Amino acid sequence: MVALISLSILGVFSMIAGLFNVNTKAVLTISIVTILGVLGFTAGFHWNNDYSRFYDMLNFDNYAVAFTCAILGSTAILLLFSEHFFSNIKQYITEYYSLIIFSVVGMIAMVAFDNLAMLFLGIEIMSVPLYILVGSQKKNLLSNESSLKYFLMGAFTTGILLMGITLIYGETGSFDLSTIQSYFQENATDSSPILLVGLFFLLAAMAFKVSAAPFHFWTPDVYQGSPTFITAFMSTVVKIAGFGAFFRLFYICFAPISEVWTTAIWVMAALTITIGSITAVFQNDIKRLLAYSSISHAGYMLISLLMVKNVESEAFGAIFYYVISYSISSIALFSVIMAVQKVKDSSSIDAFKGLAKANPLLGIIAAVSIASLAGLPPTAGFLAKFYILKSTVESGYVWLALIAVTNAIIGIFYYFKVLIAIYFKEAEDQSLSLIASSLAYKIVAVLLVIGILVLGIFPDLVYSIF
Amino acid sequence: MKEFFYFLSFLAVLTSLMVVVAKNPVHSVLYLIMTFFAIAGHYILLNAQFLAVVHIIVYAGAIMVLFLFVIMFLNLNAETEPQKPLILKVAAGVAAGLLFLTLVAAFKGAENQVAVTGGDSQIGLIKNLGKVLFNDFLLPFEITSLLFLSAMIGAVMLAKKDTPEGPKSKDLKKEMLLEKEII
Repeated sequence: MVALISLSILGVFSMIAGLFNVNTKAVLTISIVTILGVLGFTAGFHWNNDYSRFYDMLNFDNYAVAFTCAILGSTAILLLFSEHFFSNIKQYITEYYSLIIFSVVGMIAMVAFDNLAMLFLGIEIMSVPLYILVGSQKKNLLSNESSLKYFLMGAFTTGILLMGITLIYGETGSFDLSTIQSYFQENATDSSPILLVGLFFLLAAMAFKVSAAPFHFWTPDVYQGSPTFITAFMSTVVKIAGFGAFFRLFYICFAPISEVWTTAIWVMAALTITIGSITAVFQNDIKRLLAYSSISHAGYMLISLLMVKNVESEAFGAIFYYVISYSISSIALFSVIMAVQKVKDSSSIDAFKGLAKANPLLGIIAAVSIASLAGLPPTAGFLAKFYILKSTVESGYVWLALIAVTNAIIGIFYYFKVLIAIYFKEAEDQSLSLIASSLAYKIVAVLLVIGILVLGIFPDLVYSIF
Repeated sequence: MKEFFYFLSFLAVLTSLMVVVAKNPVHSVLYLIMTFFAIAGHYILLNAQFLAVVHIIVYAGAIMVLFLFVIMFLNLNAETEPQKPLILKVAAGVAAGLLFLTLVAAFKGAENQVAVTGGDSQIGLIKNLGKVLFNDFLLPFEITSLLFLSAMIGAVMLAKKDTPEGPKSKDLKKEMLLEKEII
């Protein structure tokens, strides 16, 4: 609750700061400090201290606290990297900050909701600023297109989500998660078809938000068209929030009738991983490639929904570890992309040729983060995939595990296409050596790389917190 | 009561079909207004009088006027309407048909269920609605303000013209001159 209130105030503050021409650096510093403070408070106060207020609208249990901290932490790191993005913009910089912060408020409501009304509002508060941020390059046709596409499809999905909530309400007479769950427990074997239709509507809407196949078609266009900083925001923080809500809904609320939806999730996960990794092979634009890779990562995260019958804490640990490792690896890679785009103004893979020679530090950051995204040891990405696949096999889904492993191998191929460009190709011109990164950028990026490696060697830091 | 319900439902389905089928976009909007009135009638049947009134004021009144404005600004007609390839139309038809089939099957299975009604005829009045809104649903009610605020910020950000100097030009006169030039 404190997180929601203080972040809302922060958002309003940075909005008003734009009115008085406050120095944007100061606003950025205040935002980052506040976000980190809220993170510390949430972790310190709410951990193992379930906190439910406002007639059970939100419930800050350990699960919600972990995801809130992941969202806040990723946002803070991304904001630290925002200098490359905001140096190109002359106007409305503080408004960008306030939109990002409002979006984060929505995400916190999404991962801590205890009432379907809050889920709906959280998703909307997260999405509306995103529609605007995606289209913020007004003169760029790609940005306009992606904003319109995302908005129209997102609005349609909202309709489907609402329809699902309505059908579930019509059957159970409640928006409250625990009431719905106990209804499912009582009628586990003979749930009415209306309820099941509602469940699948919710499934479709959530799958759209995390861009799982067959609801992934918007992802490549939107990720490519939006400003790189927003792409990074969407593919990390928004994804964490989406999966946080997805898991809370299906793992806690719909767990009693898991037989009904596990088959659907099985098919969706297999499709998502396969489509994501096979299409990524043919991409020449790094943002598009990362969009497809984020689709295939969404597939791996979907798999962990299938472990619903396993020990609860183990599944939570696996998904949380995956989310964290994916998030920090992506942020590290996107920080490199943003730095390169600043001098190259292009996001094709060719722009990265000879990066390692021109700027060894960026080369190392890219190498470690790509290794982690591809799932190579000793990085965090390897163990993240390992834990998910391990429990997939333990739950008896051997075929799905085989599909996932096959696609992980394909994944190594397309990730290495980028690495080869960075390390073994000659640069076409000298512009890459012009990249000048500030000291703060270097420190944070190196810390991220260390984080990826440390998490890969000591996974229990995150894996067994639940 | 039952006959009235069927009449309203028929009207709602018919007019919403006409929204899609009508060739002229202005006709579509007018049919949409009729759909909203039919839905408002449903609200009254469900004892939600306040909701019905607000629905008519907000949707049929404000939002539809906005719709009409936008359509007239865009100057839509049959020539500018993009034609979709046949395969897309078939795919959309099949998908929508399957969804329709699923929904019909789901609701058909539920025909023997007893409807849960509050039984309180006062439930839709403003007083009772306010009690629920400001007690049980206080947090969602308050947090909606963030949604509107961010939408407003976005509207200003996207709609306002970029001044070449940026907002740092504190000289108001200069800014006004600039705006005049743009106009």
